[in-house]
Amino acid sequence: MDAFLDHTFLASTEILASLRQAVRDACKRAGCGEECSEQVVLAANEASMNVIQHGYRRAAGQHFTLRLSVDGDMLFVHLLDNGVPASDADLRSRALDELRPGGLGVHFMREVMDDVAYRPAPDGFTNCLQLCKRMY
Amino acid sequence: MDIQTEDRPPFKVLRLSGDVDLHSSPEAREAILACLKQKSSLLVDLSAVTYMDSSGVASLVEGYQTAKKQGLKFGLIAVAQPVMNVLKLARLDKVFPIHASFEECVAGV
Repeated sequence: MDAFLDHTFLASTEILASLRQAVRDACKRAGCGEECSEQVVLAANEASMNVIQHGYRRAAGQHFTLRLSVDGDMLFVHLLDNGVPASDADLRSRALDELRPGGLGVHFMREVMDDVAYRPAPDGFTNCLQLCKRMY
Repeated sequence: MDIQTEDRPPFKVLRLSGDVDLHSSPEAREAILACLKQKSSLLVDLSAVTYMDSSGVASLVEGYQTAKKQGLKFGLIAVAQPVMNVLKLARLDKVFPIHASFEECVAGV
């Protein structure tokens, strides 16, 4: 597996623009096309938003790690944090027939990635969210 | 993100520029609701938005619902492709009134 990004971010909304650019650049280095890259950027951004808002409940001074790697033509994004323990039960998309402001982040992730699931977290982390996508 | 407001009766036109994400979307939300509080129908110009996440979309949905409750019109004009992509993901491209330009919107009123 080839690593293209391994960075620890402050869990705060002001880092999201630089996170998106870091993911975009990593996707480009990994050989992703532009449309595929933007989909990975969207998913990584939404997942990071969830860590900030729900994992850490916007507490100051927390951090999370984002890793982007490639195995063959499969791209993996791993988000590692020490926030509130999460599971696949937290990854249910809501029905879209109801028009209401919130709850779209998981839906966006599931729409653009091939798989979204929590994996056993490595030592030193509570949660490991894996997003994967076949590159094009 | 930059926000500009213009009076173009019978609408206020709110032009958002840059990334509308979790960091900046609260400001966008406040601006949308502030326009509607003035009892004016609202068009949101998204031609200069370079990125929008689910929180930005949520701000637009809240604006649409607030306008509807107040009997005001709410629409989107000149939606940039990055925004259209997320609106389609959310199946909202068929919910919001969307126009290519202010002139097209007014011609249809």
